[in-house]
Amino acid sequence: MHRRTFLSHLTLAAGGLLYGSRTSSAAESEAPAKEAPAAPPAGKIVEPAREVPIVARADVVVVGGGPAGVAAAIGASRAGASVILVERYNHLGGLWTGGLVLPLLATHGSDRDKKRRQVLAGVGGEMAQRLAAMKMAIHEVDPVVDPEAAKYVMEAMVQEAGVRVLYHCWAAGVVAKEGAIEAVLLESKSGRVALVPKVVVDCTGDGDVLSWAGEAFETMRYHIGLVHRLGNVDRIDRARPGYKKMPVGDPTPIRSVNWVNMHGEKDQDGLDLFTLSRLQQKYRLEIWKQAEKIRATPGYEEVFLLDTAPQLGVRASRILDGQYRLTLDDSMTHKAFDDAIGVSGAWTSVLHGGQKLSAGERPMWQIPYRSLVPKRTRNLLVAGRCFCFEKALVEDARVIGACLVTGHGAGVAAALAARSGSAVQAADIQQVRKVLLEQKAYLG
Amino acid sequence: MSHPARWVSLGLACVLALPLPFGVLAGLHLRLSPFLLLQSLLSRAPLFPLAALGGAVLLLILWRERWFCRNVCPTGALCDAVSACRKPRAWDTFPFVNKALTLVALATAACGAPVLAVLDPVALFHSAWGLLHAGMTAAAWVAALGLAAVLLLSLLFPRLWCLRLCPLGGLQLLAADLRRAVTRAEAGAPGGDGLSRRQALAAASGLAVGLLLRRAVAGEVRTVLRPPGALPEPRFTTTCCRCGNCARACPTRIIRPALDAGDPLGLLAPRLDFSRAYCLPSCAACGRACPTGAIAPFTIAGKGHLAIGTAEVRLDGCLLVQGKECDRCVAACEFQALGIGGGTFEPVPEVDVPRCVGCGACAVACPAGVIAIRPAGHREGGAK
Repeated sequence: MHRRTFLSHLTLAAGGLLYGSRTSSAAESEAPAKEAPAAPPAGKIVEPAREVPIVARADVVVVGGGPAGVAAAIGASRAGASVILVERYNHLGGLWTGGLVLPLLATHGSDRDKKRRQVLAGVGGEMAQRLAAMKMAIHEVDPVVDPEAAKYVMEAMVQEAGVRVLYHCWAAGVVAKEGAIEAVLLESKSGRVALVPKVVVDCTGDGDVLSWAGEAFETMRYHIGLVHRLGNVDRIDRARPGYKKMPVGDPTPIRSVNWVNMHGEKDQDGLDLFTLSRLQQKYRLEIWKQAEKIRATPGYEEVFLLDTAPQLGVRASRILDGQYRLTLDDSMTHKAFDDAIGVSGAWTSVLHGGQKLSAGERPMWQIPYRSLVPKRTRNLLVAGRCFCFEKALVEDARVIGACLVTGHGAGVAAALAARSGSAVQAADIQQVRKVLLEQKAYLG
Repeated sequence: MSHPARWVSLGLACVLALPLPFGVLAGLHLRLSPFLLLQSLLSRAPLFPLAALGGAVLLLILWRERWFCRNVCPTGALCDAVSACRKPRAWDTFPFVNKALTLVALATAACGAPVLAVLDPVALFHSAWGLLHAGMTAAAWVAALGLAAVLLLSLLFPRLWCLRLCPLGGLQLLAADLRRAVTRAEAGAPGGDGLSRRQALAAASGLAVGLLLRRAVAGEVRTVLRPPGALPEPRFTTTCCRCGNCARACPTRIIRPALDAGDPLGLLAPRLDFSRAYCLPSCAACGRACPTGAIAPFTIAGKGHLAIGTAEVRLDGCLLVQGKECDRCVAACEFQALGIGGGTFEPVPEVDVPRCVGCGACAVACPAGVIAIRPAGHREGGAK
């Protein structure tokens, strides 16, 4: 069953490659098409069954090395598990670092006495602390970090924790049997390989693993952008005749460097290969032209395009249909969960019951363990922007702070489930909370 | 204690004026006032079906002299209470100002501007309760002055208000006069006295005032935000009796009495305040609460066509324009009236004006506070 699902994914991907080669040759003579091409009518092929070598076994396999994955891996390792962290690029931090989405949002929230306090603690709090100590973070609330410093801090932390990281490999599927994931398949320069985990933590952001495991999910189309950075912004000469204010983004810890956010096209499918490719091609040209436009403005001659993110800013895609769907209402009412594994904050204003609450007034919100737990698979947990929440909460659930918090909780719970051998649905949640507190997490 | 029914009624009125979820029963006594009803009927204001209660009272006062005063009026009960320690006076020689006021009121109402509805004792009673549910604002204190003045008057001149000044009392006296005239005519008695000279004068001056007023305020353009369903200006401000029942009904408490020196005609009339909350698309409470029809009753389904105003974004402060991660206005809009236009690096929020109803959700949601709702430019006859 799952092999068949996997095969069909592969055939689609193969079809996609064929289709992609056709469009790219067409693109040479004409501008890229405005609309996303529909799924290609390229037919199907059956991939032959094959044996895949098992290259490693571990208590916990974390798929995806973004903020959630790194926090999960470190949390699991500190809880005594052997951990493998799988990452497709050459760095940790995902959209926070490589994606150049530099603000660590939702670090603070208001308590019941309406006092705003930091809620980010545990592994994520340690990262923020280390970055601040290195002077590689600006602002106390929702700090903006330097991406290379954050990559360094996360790399140092996973090495200190004894996490084994596999870079440059994509998770390509799972082999699932009787409600459990038996193996995670990776595509790599060593070819296709398999990892055998006791427990898997899906930190792919897109919920790839949970979908391969056959778990139900919602999908969300959202705006997708591509972030870039500009250098030499400290050399802008405002006294130059003809100077006018240009949009050059926001400051980072490096004085000469700004990061430039992009809202991007709305209602885009972050799970569609063709959409991602089209947006990438479009934004590549647009970012260069925008930088040229800035450089051509008097006073901005020294400014240059420092880099563009290696991955698109997909803000939301799959959302787990888990054991408990956390609601906006929960987040606005100090709802207390006896299985809370962390507390996140709020970074933007929101409407609730017709009233406005600004970011500074909004309550901190507890995240229950059940929102990380899938309905069926007994050895899978989900953290990061694909855990189980209602779409109205997306602005707060998808940001780095919430990813670090859910990651840490899922990592510790995975380690304990691997040790006890019990299903994640039957976890001893008070034990999980005890270990999280030992690891300095804040549980409200 | 005289008229026990009225004391029960006073208790009921107090309870139903409390800021509790009574639904359409809130401010029930306002519906019972035949003075308010008659003016709304004469000015052809759209009424919520509960107004039929006032119609029943209208019939009763034809048969039972001062039935409303004796059995219902909460203000009358309060007046009696404050003047209980004083020696009652009959005011036999005092002129019937109340009848004249009633005639003026009805005549102006017939001209489409029932401005004397504000003297209705039930409206005066309810407007004082704004202090409880809208907070102790300056406007709420001013709104409470009407009832305070009546009570002070009753303390200084016991029963003068009830017997000779109150236009609702005047209406009942006129109703009794009318019944007597009809009875006499039926009995074939000669020389029914009809309208007295003074009364005819009052009615004529009422008509003159109404027509002049109408001319004076014609072309008044809406400059402040009014509740959805509000009649076009100036009909809205002249029809509203300032009872505050809409403010009381509003679940998000955005309806507040206006206290704006620049708008004397709209003094204490309800206006919308979008600083903290907005007008819920799922709510039709104010239209049901209005006893005069100044706010036309509307359905939730039909609410989308009742433009309060139109959103306007001040781009120089907009976070999105500055490249910040923000589309709170787009997410807040339940009518898909806000979108993001401009190029990839010049994103701007854009308002689709025909879709925008001016509910204020975007203005409230905006973290930078740069969205304002411009009042719909309703003119007389311009609204549906």
